Amino acid sequence: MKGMSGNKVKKGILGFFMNAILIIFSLSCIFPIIWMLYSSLKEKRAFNADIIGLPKNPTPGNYIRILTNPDYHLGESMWNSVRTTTLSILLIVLFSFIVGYILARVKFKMNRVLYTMFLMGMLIPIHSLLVPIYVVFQRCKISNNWFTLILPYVSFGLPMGIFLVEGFVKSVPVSLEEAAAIDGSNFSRTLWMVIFPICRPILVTVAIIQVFSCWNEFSFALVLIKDVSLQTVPLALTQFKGQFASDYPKQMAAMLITMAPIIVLYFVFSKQIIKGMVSGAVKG
Amino acid sequence: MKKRQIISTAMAAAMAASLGLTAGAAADVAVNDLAYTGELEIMHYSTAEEAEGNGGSDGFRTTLAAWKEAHPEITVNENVLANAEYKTQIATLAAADDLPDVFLLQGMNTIDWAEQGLVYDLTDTIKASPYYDNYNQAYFTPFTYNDSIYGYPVLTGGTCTVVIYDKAMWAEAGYDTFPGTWEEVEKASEYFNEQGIYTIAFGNGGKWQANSDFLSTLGNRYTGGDWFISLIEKSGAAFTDEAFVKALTEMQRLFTETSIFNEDFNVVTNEDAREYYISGSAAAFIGGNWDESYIAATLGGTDEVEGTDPEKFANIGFAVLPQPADATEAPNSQNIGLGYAVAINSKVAEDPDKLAAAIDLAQELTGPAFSSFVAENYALGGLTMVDEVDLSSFDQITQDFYNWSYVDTEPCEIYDSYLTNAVWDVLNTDLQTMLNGEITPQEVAENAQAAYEANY
Repeated sequence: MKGMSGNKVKKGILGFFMNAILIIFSLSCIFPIIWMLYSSLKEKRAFNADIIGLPKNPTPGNYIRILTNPDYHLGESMWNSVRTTTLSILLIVLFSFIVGYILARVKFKMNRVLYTMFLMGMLIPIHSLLVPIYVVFQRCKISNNWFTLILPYVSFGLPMGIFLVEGFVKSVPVSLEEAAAIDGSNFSRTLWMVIFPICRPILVTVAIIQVFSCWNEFSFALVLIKDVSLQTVPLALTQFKGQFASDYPKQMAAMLITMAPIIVLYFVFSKQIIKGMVSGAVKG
Repeated sequence: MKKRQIISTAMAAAMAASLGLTAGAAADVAVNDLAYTGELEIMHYSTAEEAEGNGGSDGFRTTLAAWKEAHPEITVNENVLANAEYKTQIATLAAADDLPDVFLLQGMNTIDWAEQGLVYDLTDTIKASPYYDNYNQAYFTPFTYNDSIYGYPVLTGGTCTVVIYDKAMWAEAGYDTFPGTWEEVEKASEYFNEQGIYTIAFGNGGKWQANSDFLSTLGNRYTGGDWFISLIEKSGAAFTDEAFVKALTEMQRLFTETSIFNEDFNVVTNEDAREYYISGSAAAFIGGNWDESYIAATLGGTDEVEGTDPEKFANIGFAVLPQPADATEAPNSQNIGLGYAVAINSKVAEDPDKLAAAIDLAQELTGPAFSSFVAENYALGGLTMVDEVDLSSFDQITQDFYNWSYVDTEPCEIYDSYLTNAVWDVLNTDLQTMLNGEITPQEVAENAQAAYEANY
């Protein structure tokens, strides 16, 4: 009896510490958002005087200033980000699926060379390509357009997408396609009606990774876009940073406003996102 | 050219009103007849945010708006980015030989871009300018290469090194004015330490502050102005010269061997350090004109914002950096200047009408319209000197700071307006390490010299 209660105590203490660690970890993840939320209700001066403290006189002033000043063009930049990200993701998922499938299933002479070349795209630092890509875009007269950023986003998103899809497709039994062929399904039908639904988890993973990557991308947006009305969110947010001083509360208010679509997206698709992440992590 | 004066209109006023400014925001630009009709690109970093409380940026935006209003036949395409992003994008555009028609040239890029033929030589144009006689000639130095001038210095010339002190606190310590030597400051620090107050607050968390807000002036006290000019012109001076190493040695001594500064000076930024002064935790603060604006606006604010303190505001005093015991040069110097100039892409010269329009824009953005605006609304000065600045509408602190900046002190150069970032990146990093006591002044000087020889 004594031994059992001792075990219970041990388990209880262990459980307490385990929970405490997880709670601390969870708080450390969520605290930056909470901090941003209440800091955005402070005036600049109050924030500078006490960075962590709760606002003594909370005010929605920053939100009002951001939403009423046309110079900040946050709405426009959000639309640009949504459009660029959505189109980029559609293309990345589409091309990753097709190319990844072909590289996994179709045997041809340069298959591995091609695969390696795609993967090398992940190894090239983006900053080393800024000037050459700018020159190419300039000469081709495709810089500073609404579609400009989609091209590099798709190009640099593909290596990761192809890598994940190729690995996933390899784990799918070939017998499924053979069965489809026996049933009279042609290549396209098998690809889209049989393989595509099976690959959905990994494609969701690819989409999630790339949504964050495209939404947050800064370097290409900075270099390839000149027109203020074409700026994406990360670029528009830089305007709250001055040469010698920054208005952090206003910056935080702007970040929260621009985070809203992503948060909504997350809550709407949370189940699928978690499923996709887990599936991608296990099988990809 | 036919000239007529107009008073700029609703546009500028409305813009300023939308920014919530109390200043009477309008700029009188000279309207010259220009043959050019079409588009003119301009790239700058005076964002709406930057213009809030920053007189130079507000003046730039207001003057630009007035010029656009005065020339409806010209479509001005503005590309406005925050300063850090501006520097990245303009460097990329320069590397791709695709600079905008009109842009802001940073002093340290002048030589490289002039050698590459990217910027238009404005020497004759500047000399022919109707405002030439009123130009502060010293401001052209960072934009001059081989006797050619490549830009109209723009925005406002503000100090990068000012000691802001609380007169009442220093009076209690037995000083009627801020001490003129570091020896006296050290003595005063004994009193302030007993009170649990930092003698001087300083923040070098961003690494650039020790250079821009301290060394640039301290170095001048040891080397004199000619040494740095020689460094710019590559005519013999070196970072390893004895006088400069002495300046570094004194700097290290002040920060590591005395208890004058806040112990976290190498971690906190100027934005954090000035809060020590505002809250009364420090008796003085060293920073730039942008810090002065913030401190004055905070302490002297009229609305009920935390930190407003009319008594402390009235006690604000300004002083130059104290003189080290073994320094022999310019004890009254402070580094002041204009880090950027309005420059023109050399390709614009292919269209003489467009070039005339670009020159007209550059002249107005730096001319009397701009200078009058910033003088009247912010008590600041630009390239063009304004004959009579009526400061009577300003509070005493603003008047004092204007006189301290432009009348009572001797200007010296801001180091990082010149040379190249490659040198300053090395020096700034080493300075931070040196102020931690982990590297010697001699090593700092040698590393800076190596970077200078390799990159400049």
